[in-house]
Amino acid sequence: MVKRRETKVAELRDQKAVSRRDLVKAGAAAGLGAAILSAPGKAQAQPAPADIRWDYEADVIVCGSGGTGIVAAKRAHDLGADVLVIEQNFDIGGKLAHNGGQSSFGGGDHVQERDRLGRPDPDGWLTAPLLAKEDLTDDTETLFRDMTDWSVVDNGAVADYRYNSRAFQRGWADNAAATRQFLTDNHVRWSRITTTHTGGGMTKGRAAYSIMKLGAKTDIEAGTITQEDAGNLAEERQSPFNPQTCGAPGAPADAWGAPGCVGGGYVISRSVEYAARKAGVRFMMNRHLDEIIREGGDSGRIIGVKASYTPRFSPKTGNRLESFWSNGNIDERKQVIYIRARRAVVVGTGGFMGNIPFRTQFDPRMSEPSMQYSTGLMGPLHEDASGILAGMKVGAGLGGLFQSYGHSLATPKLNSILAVSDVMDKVMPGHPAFEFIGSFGINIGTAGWEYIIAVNQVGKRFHDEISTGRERSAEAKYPLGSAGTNRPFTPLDWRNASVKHVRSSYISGPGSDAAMAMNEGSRAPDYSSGPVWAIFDQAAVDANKWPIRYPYIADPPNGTFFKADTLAELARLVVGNRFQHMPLKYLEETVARFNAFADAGKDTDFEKPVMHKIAKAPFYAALIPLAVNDSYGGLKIDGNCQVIDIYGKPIPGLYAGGEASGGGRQHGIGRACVTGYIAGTQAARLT
Amino acid sequence: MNGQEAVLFPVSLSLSISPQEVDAGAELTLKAVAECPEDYDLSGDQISFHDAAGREIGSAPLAVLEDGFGAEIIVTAPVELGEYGYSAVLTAAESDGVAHAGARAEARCSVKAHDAYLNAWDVPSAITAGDAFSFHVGLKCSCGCNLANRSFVVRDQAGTVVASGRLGDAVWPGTSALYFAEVQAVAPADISLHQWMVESAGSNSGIAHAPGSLAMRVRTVAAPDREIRIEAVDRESGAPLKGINLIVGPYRATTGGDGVAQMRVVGDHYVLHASGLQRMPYRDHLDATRPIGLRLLMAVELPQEHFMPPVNQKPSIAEVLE
Repeated sequence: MVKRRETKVAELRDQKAVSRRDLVKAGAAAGLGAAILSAPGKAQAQPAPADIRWDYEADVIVCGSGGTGIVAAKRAHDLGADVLVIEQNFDIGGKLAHNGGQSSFGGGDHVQERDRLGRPDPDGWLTAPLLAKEDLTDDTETLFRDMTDWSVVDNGAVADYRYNSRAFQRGWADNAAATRQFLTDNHVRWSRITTTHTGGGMTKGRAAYSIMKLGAKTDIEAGTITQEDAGNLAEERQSPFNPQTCGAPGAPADAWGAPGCVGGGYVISRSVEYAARKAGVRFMMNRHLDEIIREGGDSGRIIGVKASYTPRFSPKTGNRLESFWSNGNIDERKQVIYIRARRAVVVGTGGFMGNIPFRTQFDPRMSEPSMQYSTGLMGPLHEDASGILAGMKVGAGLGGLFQSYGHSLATPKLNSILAVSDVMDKVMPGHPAFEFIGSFGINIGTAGWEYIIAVNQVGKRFHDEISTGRERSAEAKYPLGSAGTNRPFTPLDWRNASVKHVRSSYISGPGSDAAMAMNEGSRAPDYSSGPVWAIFDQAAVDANKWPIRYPYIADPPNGTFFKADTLAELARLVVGNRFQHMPLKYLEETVARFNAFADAGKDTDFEKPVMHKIAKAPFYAALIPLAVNDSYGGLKIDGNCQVIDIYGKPIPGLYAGGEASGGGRQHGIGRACVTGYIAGTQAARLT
Repeated sequence: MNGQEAVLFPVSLSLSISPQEVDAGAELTLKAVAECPEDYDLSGDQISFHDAAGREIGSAPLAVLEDGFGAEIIVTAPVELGEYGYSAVLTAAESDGVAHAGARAEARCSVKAHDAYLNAWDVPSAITAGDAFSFHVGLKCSCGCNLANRSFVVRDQAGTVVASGRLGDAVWPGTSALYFAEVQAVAPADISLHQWMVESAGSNSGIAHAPGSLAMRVRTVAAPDREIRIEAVDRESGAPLKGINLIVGPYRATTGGDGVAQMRVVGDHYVLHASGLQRMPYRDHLDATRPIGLRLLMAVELPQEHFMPPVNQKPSIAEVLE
């Protein structure tokens, strides 16, 4: 029966930078469909600020609940502001919740001082300090100098600190110690200082892990956690309390001077969340920042936000996913709402690695859609640059635009954990997001690459697979630059950046570059490189005892792992991956050539030093995730974390931090939490 | 429609066949895609599919696609090899004051013999020249046909048959239809890397099967005259490690439950490579011109965080045993 159309497919397609073809192919089983259909809309006309009917009001609206958002929210509330947090995912935490927990502050913070003076922790859980006194003697000037030391060049020839914004880093250094104290005041316990975490400066030990003590009950105020909540109860079981993916779930903290403890970013996330909920901070989950509203064109103050309802539904049950704790939640399900900010808006929505058009501004190779970025844990709208884009629309300038380029943390890397769409989504069953992820992945370690060839989307090899294990970050680290600096580091010494030094320490990682190269399968207009695949046989499985079973591989299959009787069949099966648009055309030819190399004992293509033939059926193809961790570059901010407009002037009432902001190349918790602390402080002080 | 003429909107239809080259008797997907102006909806309209003789072989309703409307059916391809044509028809329709005049599309495909996928495995990495050895040969039909009792031959570089056999009744463990046989052969008498061919003849009886062939290599070496004893232990505890894989030139071995592997090799200088699950690989020169015993102290590979350099990662090292 022919008829006029009621809903235009084009409208649905416009709602998300994922094509309908992908959606149809992925199917509802992936849980994407529901999320897409409820994704932020663009069709609605934006009313003039004066005409907006506000659905909610708060003194301070905090967008995002990761390291920046949750800290900003609690800090602003502590200073007397009425705070509402909106979070696009179903639970609190963002990337903080599955961070490894290593937290670099410094400037003589109280944990540095505790360890410097050899004092016990208040709970009496820790062993003796791990670092020498002189390595812990720190102050804000030393911290500021370190964070702007032009001379540090890492093994990838990237200058870690040279281009950090001086104005921003001044504010960051001045508030680092206060932020550590703030977190401690909100129930976070710390291990001994272990080192300085990536981007936290070269001369002093500044990083400790956030920890909890294993005990009979989970008690945030007492700092104790059960084995079950830590995700330690069973090897193949995770906890909804802890989605930690960096390291093993509930990683023992003995090596950090904290025997009997576990640690991770979730400790900070849950502790501050607990304190914030108890104090009366309001939360609106499943609520995505669409627009920031500014009165008076690009000269007025920020007065609110427009936000969309973005729930996630269990692919198995169809039920909406719910946050671990719910006290303080506002269960608003209206598709689009307007929230008035009486004082300020804080943008802590994360970076841009989930937004292909945005990220390709920094690196055109990232046009490849199979490069996932914690989509399972944090949803398809995570890291979608929403906060940055919303800021740009009200006149915000951008900072640190080039700082992602070439940086080891912001450049995709081949990973040794196979058969999972995103290595950052390393979760076991038991966490609600596992239903979206489907598999934990198979960790093959360095030796596993001896048995594997890696091929691109047309089935051709592109590097010495064994070199994959050597492609880890080359970040300069305290105290000697353990990733290759071959002599003691001297602050501001030109020899740290000399050609001789860089050449002596440079570690090349050609595999990842080659994996992202254009190939015969690349098509206009984006010329994406396509997924990369680990190809191996039953002999490899037998030799290495890899767990070819659920939950290490997905059941039902999710397109990250395939098995076939023959290579020809395997080459065709991989199109079951939604990003693999063609069979592995050259796979049989590639394996035959590789097997000839193995027989001859010489790989004349890529000089792989150890080879095992791929000949014994069945044959396997496992997705090799290209892992990317950070994005640098975002809203330009000053030392107060106030957003600066394109003319260099602060935007009244708009603050940003973490990866939504630009100008500081520091990884992880240190940057996120300190910017959240500053932004929360400044936002609350506005009248 | 109250005497008013229906609005006639244009439609177009295309037909695709997947795969374009299909195995005899295998499944074939016919997919019709209809397009019309964006304001109209063809979902639910029936597409009828026909063979070259005009016989209807199935029908399916149109569903919404990204760029139009689609309907597909799966049919069985003919058994006889050759070219075949199919067509799809969208009948003219009118409803709710709108109408279209229908459309028709055609497409062709070719039916081919089933492919044969040959495989050879468990060929020893080094065989003493002139010695007997065994390996496995497997054959899989592209449609999973039963290939039990199918014959094959193995030829050397000169084309001489050096082994032959028939596939057994069972399929190789872990596979759905890889029929296999264990092959006994005698290695060439000269020391070299020899290329052999495994060949399976095609068949035209019943469903046609194409012939298949596979290159394999046989490395012959001189008779071993040295013995290497390698013991693999955990670097920290000294506990024996089972399953450490050892490569010495063309020779390969795996340590047993006592952590020990004995290898007989031709006296020479080699590179020894040792590796195992979650262990740091060991690699160094090995002087095997004399009997030698080695203890490999294999370090645990610390968990990898892709953005972090390994911290305090100890290497695996070796001690020469007297």
